[in-house]
Amino acid sequence: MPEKGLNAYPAVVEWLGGFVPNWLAEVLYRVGAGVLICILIATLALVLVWMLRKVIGHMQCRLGPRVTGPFGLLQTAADALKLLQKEDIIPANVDKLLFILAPYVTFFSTGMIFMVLPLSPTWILNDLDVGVLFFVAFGSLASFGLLMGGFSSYNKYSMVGGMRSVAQVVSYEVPMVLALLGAVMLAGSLSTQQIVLQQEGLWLGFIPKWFIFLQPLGFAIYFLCGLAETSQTPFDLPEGESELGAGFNTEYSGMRWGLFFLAEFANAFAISAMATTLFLGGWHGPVFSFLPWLWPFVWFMAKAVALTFCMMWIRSTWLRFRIDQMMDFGWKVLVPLSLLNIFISAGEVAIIRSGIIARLIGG
Amino acid sequence: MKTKDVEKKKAALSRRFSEGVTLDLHRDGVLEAVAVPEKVEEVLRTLKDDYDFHQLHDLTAVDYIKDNQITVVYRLMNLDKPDMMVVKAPLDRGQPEVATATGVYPAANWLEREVYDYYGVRFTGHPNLTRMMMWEGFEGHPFRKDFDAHDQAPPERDPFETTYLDFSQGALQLTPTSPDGGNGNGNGSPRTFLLNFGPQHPSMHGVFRAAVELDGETIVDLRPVVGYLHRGLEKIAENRTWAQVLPYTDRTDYLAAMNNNHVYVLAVEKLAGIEVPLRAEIIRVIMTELGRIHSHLMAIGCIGMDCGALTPMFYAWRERETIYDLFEMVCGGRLLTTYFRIGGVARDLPDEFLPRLQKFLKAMPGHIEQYNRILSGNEIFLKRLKKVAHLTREMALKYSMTGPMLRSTGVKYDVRKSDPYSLYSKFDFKVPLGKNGDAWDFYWLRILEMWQSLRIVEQALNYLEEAGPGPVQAKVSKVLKPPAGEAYVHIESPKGDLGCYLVSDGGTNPYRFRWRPPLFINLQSLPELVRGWKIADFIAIFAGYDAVMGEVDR
Repeated sequence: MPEKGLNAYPAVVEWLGGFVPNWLAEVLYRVGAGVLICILIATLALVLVWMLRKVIGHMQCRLGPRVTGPFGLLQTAADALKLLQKEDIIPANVDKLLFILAPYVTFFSTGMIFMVLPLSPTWILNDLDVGVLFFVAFGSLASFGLLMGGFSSYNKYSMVGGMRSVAQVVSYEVPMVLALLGAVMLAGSLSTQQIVLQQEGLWLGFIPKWFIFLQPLGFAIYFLCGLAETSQTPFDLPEGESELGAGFNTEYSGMRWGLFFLAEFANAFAISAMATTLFLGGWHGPVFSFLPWLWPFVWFMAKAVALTFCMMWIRSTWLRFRIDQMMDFGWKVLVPLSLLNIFISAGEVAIIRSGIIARLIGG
Repeated sequence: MKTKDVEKKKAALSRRFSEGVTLDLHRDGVLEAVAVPEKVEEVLRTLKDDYDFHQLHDLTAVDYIKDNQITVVYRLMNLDKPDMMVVKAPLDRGQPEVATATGVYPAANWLEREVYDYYGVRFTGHPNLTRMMMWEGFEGHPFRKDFDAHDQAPPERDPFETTYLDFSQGALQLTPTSPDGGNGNGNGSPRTFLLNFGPQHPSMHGVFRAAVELDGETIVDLRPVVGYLHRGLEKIAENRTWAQVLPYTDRTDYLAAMNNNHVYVLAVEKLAGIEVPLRAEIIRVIMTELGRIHSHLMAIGCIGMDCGALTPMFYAWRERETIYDLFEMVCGGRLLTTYFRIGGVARDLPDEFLPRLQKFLKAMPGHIEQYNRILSGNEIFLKRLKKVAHLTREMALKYSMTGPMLRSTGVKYDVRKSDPYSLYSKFDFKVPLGKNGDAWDFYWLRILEMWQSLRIVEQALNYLEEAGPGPVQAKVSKVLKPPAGEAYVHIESPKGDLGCYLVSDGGTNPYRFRWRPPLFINLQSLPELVRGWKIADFIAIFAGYDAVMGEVDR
């Protein structure tokens, strides 16, 4: 099992250390990583927003954008331009500090998740030993932003939206972490890169050793909780446009609103990417001789985008839960199931460690 | 109802009320009682308790300035038979005053406020006698015949501001629960807070406003506020000729313009005694049934959208476009059609209309199946609607509800069946009924009614072929002057029992034009229906009303 060379952090810092003092190398790396994440998120949003419009457009018997550029490709750019030009309104009576801070908190916490995403064997900004924990921690931090936005807006719709968001994240965090534990137990590590490496190889020569085949229940629970965590349909109660106007972001306009919007997309992608990492074998996939270093990245992106597509699919065909139904579903269905999943994983780990299967199938 | 029965009832009633009540039988078999103001409440109570007139169908007034009288007209209904009866109370114009009917019929609440607003009739004992449509601070009563709009001084304060201030927390009679009631949060302040839904809100279907008192997400109380889209349709109609009124009726329930046209032309034809050619009447039935499908499409799309599903709405819009294309073929208009004329329809069907309609009829069942697949079968959708809200038969009668909401409680009342107008007695169709009176029934009945409408259109097409070509417009004099008198016609519009009450003084204009708006009357039940449910339920239940504010506010 290769241990070194999979983490960009020490390698790049060492390389930079050859030109500048060590402390500056550290700082440069962190700033550079931040810029990279921002670029990545912006590019992703550019593609995903366009994709959302096209996908949902076709599902709803519409065409989606097609006037701005070929296939409407420039639609997102046009949107961004529009948002940037818009007047930035801060209503009277709002809690200014929290109001201004809220979108950044949400965006920041989402961006931090990208730190631990193993995009390819060598591309991971920082392979933390506690990568999964880090992901869970920052994933739930996003709801702070929503609560801040809702609470500071001096608007009852926003407040109800913010409160819903916290209630939702608190209740779905529990089954989500429990579902993640299954994959972590199988891999025996909290490091995201290690988890991906554990999924290398094939069973019986054709089934990839992805954890989804051992953890179908865990994957399902994780994905549902991910929808709730990112306030996607059917858990889009914090926004709930037909009930609360636009929920927590009712009072936001211009690029502040845009940041919330961007964070939502980045978050949806991050959840999909994490599902890819934990359950779908991460960057594993056939590597061809043409540009061999690029293929893992392509596979990773393809899997994550496919999951994001599923989210869009759900978004266009399902509808919203009521608040008490959502709570019931979280606490009475998902939590017991995820606890059951832990027992299943423990059994699987015991079987695999005992080597019975290896002896049976000779793998 | 047979004439003999009515005669019998008339005799029984005249024995019962010896003094102060005179009874009269209308041409169309409707019994009319004229009562002195002191007797009105007693008459209404007797009719309700002993003669099964359990629903107040309509309440309005007419200003007979020559007799120095304002007559309040109560229209009572027995839904089981069905049987209609009119009670009239002529009041002194100088000081019109009559006891409130809210004690007998709770549905009279808004209707009496409306009459007070328009005519200044004081209903003694009314729980909240304030203006309904005009803003507080408005002087005079616009429907009195001696009212002159030009006498009005422009309002000193902006009407919106006035409304806003007067409707603030106190005036809405919403008193947050006192902390003493054990409902406090411990620090002395009330636990509930007030949230305004509307007039601008994505799911208030126009400009409805609901001031909601919330305890967390649970609705403690709700107060509906209407009148933001009031355009004075009934007043305008008094200043237009009989034919000119027609386009205004389009703009009440603008999702079913054809149906609105229908009730008005039927009322005028009844008043003036005009015979309509058969072909025109068949075309009218086709158009009104298409209008019903169109309106129900919007209703189910909106119910889905208010529960968070956007896609079914777009599917519904796709079929709506086809219906609009069909409307455009016959009259050029899409939303506001004004296709019907007094004595017929504007022009015959164009050649390309029938093939297009046939194609639509063939495709539509598949489309409805598609809605069922994406929406009606959705687990979450069922969870959101089933057993949400509980409308009972008693409640529906108490608030004079009609339309799909009434039928969801199992009351078999569809004007097309119970009081057949136009050609409806010739068609074979069923009236779908619900059982539970929950939000699911409100939704599902509309889907079922679309199937029935399709059946009617198909039969009407065959009938049209049988009838063959012919005139589509009766001979009606250019300047129509119906004889003095009055006529009332009600039809089953997609939203409920839509009525049109016309009074003529023999002139070229309607003397009084009254629109019985089913939604306006249905909406009174909203507070009772949503109390104790969550915000999301309130939105789903309100979507079940299929409210179009153009009709509520007129």
